[in-house]
Amino acid sequence: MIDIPREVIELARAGDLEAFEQIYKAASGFVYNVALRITNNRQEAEEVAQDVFLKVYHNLRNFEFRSSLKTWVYRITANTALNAYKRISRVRNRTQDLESVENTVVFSEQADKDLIKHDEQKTNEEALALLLNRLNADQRSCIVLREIEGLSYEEIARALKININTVRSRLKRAREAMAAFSQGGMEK
Amino acid sequence: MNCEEIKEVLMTDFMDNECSGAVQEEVVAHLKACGDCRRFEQLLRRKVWQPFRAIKAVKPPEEIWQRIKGSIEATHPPRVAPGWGRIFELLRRNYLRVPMPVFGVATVMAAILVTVLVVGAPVSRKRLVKESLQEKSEYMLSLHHSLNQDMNGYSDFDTTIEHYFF
Repeated sequence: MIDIPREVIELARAGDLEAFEQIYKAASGFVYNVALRITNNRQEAEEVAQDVFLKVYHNLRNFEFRSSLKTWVYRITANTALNAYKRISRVRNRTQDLESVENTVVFSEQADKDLIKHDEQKTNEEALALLLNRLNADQRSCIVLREIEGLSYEEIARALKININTVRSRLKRAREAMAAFSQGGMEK
Repeated sequence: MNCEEIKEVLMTDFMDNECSGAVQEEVVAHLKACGDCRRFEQLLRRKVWQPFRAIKAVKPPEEIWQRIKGSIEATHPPRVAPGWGRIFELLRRNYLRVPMPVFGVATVMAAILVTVLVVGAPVSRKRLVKESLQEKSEYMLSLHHSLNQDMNGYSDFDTTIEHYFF
C-alpha cells in the first residue's frame, strides 16, 4: 500500500469525496486482496472492502495522525476480514449437523489431497486456498498480512494489536501446518 | 543452535528477513553442513513460500467504489465546493473552530437587522408623515369649526377698521 500525502487525508477529513477516492485508490488493492485471502470468497471480500472504506470515511474525522493512516487501514481491514471469516464459519457450522460435518471434513480433506496430487490441473489460486484452509483465523490473518502484503513483524503486531512474539509463533504454526499438509499430499 | 532451533528460525525470522546478521550467518553455515535441515528449508520454500509468489494480486472490481460512493452520497451529500470554496472550507474546519450555533444565531440576527433597516424604515417614515398630516388636518378643521362657532350671530363688526377689511 502506497503512502498517502497528509493534505489528501486532511481534505478527505473535511468531507472531500475526490480526496477520499485517492485514499481508496491507494488502499483498495491491499484491502481487497487481504479480505479475499482471509475470507476465501470474492463476494465476501467485496463486502469487507466496502465495509472497511465506509468505516474509514466515517471515522476519518477522529483520525489524529498519532499513527500512520496505513497502520490504521491495516487494523480495520484485518479486524473486518477476520470478523467476516468467523461469521462465515459460524453460519457454515450451524447449518450442518455433526455427522455431516465429520463426513464433509473427511471427504474434503481427501478431495484436497487428490487435488494437490493433480497439481498441474489446479490453478495456483486454488492451491493456495487449500493451504490457507488448513489454518485457523489467527494464523490465517498473520500469514496473509506477511505473505500477501509483505508487512513486517512490527507492522503485523500493530495491525492485530498483539506482540511480536505472538506474530512469530502464529507464523511458525501456520507454516508448520501448511508444510505438513503439503507433505501428506505428496506422500499419498 | 541445534537442528530444532534452526528449523524454528527457518520457519520465521530467516524466511521473513527479520533475523540479525549474526543469526543469519549461523543458519547459512548450519544449512551447508546439515542435509536434513537443508531439505527442510527447500521444502518450506517450495510448499509454503512459493504458493504465495505464484499468485497475482487481484484488482478490486470497479463496482466496489461505486457502491461506497453511492452510500456516502446518500448519507452525506457533498459539502465542499471545488476551487476556492474547498480551500475556505478546509481552513474554516481546521483553523476557525467557532461552534456552529454561534454562526446560526449571528446569521439570524443579521437577517433581522437588515430586514428592519431596509423594509422597516420607509414604513415607519410613511406612518409618521401620515400621522403628522392627519394631525394638521384635524387642527385646521377644528380651527374652522371654532371660527364658525365664534362667528355665529355676528353679521357685522361695528368698527371702522372691521368695515374697512370685511
